Amino acid sequence: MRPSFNERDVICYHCGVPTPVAAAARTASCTHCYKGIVLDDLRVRDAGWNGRLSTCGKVTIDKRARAITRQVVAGQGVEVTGTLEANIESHGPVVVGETAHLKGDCRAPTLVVREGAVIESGYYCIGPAQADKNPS
Amino acid sequence: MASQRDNGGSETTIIGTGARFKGELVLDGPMQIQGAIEGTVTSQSQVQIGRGAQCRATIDAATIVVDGAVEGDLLARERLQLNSTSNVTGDIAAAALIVAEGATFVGRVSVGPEAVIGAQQKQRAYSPAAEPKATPATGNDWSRTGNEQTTSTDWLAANATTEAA
Repeated sequence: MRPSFNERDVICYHCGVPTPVAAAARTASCTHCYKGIVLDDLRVRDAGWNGRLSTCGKVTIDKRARAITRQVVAGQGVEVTGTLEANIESHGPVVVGETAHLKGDCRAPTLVVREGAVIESGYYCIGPAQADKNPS
Repeated sequence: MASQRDNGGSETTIIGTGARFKGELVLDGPMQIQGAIEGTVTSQSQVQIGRGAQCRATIDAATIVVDGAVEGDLLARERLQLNSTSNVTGDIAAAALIVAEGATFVGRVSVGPEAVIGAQQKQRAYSPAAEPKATPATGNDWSRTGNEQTTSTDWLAANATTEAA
């Protein structure tokens, strides 16, 4: 029998179903769809990033960073202080800092936009009900 | 609809709880919406939408503060503030946007000085004032309704007949 005291539940970004993982795990396989999931927080510090950004943790785009990607999927939120061109899909709060430049659509339970941020036209669905909808 | 002088000396227009307004409203001063409004609101100052307000309107103002529900497009030339109790369905264009945690929003967002310019240009393009106005009928030319316009084909035909003559 599996011990439950050092486990936590994360929402798989492939299927949207909560899956139990070890508390200290950095990657895991979803018990529902069997696909690999990243549990670490992802941080883009500087220069460019053209890869896919998907994690059950938090995604941070630093002030000097410029991330251009198709989609950012984050289980615990997204924080942008640099440039991000992507469609954001977050189960946590999306924080857009004063120096941020954001381009793309966004779906999240909460959005915090600081004064000075620049958002290019994108379709936004913000609210607890919006975040529960799983497009994948 | 009432107005009340605030500390700054300018009159605040208030649509109180239970009041209903339908149409186009143009203001110089600030405005508070606590009742129901449907149509268009244009203000050079601040428009505040209260918690219990029912707002189905396009709002164009310097500053917009939303505490209640809004169904319509918002254009804030200076600042748009969506507080935690706000619920907005519509497109947003603002020079600066502040969204508090808990605010609900569905629609298109453009933030920054360029977003406001773009939205204003779009508004001008779609406004009835931008459409070509029909010339009114004069006393001498009573048979013309003013809605008649020469089409390009008419013009070509007229040219062809003069050349032939």
